[in-house]
Amino acid sequence: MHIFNRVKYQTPESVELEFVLAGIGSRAWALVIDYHVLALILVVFLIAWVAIAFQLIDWLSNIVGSENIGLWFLAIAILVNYFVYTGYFVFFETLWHGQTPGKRIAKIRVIKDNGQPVGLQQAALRALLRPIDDTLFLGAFFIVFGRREKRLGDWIAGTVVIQAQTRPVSTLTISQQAKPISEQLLQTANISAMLPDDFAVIREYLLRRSGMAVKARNSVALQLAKQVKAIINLEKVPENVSPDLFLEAIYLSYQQSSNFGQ
Amino acid sequence: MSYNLGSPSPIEPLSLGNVITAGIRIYRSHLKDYFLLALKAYVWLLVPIYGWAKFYALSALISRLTFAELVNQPESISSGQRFVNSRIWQFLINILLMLLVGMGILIGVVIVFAIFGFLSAVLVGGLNQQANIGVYLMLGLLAFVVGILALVAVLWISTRFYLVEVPLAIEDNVDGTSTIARSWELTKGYVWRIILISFVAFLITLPIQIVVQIVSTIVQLVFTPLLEQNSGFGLLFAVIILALSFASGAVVLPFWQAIKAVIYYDLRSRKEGLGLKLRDYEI
Repeated sequence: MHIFNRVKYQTPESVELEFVLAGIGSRAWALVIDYHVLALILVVFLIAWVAIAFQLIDWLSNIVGSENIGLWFLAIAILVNYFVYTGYFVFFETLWHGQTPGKRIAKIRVIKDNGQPVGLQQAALRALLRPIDDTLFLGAFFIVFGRREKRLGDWIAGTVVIQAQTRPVSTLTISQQAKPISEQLLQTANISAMLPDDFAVIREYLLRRSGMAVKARNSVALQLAKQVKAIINLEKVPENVSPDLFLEAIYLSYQQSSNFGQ
Repeated sequence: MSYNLGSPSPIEPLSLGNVITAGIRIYRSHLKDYFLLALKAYVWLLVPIYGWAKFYALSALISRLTFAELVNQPESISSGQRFVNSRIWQFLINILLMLLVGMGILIGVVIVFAIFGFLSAVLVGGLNQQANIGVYLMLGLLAFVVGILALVAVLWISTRFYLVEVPLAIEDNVDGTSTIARSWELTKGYVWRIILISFVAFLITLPIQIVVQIVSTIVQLVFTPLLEQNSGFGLLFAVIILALSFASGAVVLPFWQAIKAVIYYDLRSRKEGLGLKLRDYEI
């Protein structure tokens, strides 16, 4: 959409790549998820740790003969806490090419300034500066007001956060009746007058129609069918064909005529 | 050669995060306009009844302007203002209806708790003072569960009314009554999504709220000693506090109205295929 920030890259093969930046909304959403997962991990760890500590404290103080064994347990717990907090982001961003569970759900990804996937170094720098960015929501201000939406960690590590592939390959269900109609259309109509953009809109409609309200869906289908009819110069629609079915047939014939069905 | 690798296509519905980002970015690019509109709305609040309708209509206007940006047909403030002003009485009717709805919800909650209280009283009384701690514990737990359920129910119902003023400010052939049905219809099946969006958006407003809080605390600290010395400052103090709360409200209001507009846009594109048309064919 035109309102989102974008970045462009020139690859060595002089292919231009364009990415949409993640935006504050997705980044906040990802962070909310990640912090909940982290909290869950830490709570489970602490419960387990307390349980272990209670079992071991007496036994250990007998062996070591020190009164301070409880303090040691506390110190180790704090240390592990810190490592889990930092390590969580480093671990996932390195392993999953710039994604954490939260970023995966929010469909965003960290990449290097040059468009390459992030490595251990970048992930670590981002994670180390996270506490500073979290303080007083400093990072949020940087993301909202910066042109490239970089928080301090991104500046130091040389990374940007972009939107990842959004849609899983969804299955398009096309009814059986559409097939013969599409054959017929290929012969009678000028399918090649359709542009890829038109095809994309029809595909989008077919993908989304199941989620639409019945009334709206019918009127959209009718509208699209009329427009397609005008574009491909079709005199009359084959008989007993609903707009929905007609669009399915159009989808099939366009696929066949441009050969990217095979 | 320009690839669009990994970027969403323009006609796809928005992801949860992108709804918020879009709202914020549109607000950011019209910061002054929307802020002044919101400030104007807040000043109108001082006028009873008519002013409240004005507040409501001006808030809806911000959503209208945001929506116009989203569908790529930007509108001038004056033309938008003419539109919402022509429907000002419908906005008033809508407020009154929503007030009734709110009261209905409240009464419903009260009834639920009254029934629960009555039943537990009967139960405890019926046990003839032999009620032990276990029964009380059970009742306490039950009261907690009922409370949570009531909260969820109220949250759910209020979310169904979340968009109420937006269709009234945007669509043709909608009045103060039918706009409620529109909101009910559009939010169907998307209640939890809207709640999640609101939650994340709320977290993003926290930095602003913190700044506002700091400023107002400073002002209060400055004025408290003056107030003790001279009681004449009382009025001035009240005015300053009012101005401050209006200004801080006016910073946050466009944020919510913009996000509301994006939610409305997104729901319409999901449920009604808004924007699904070929080239710019108008038939």
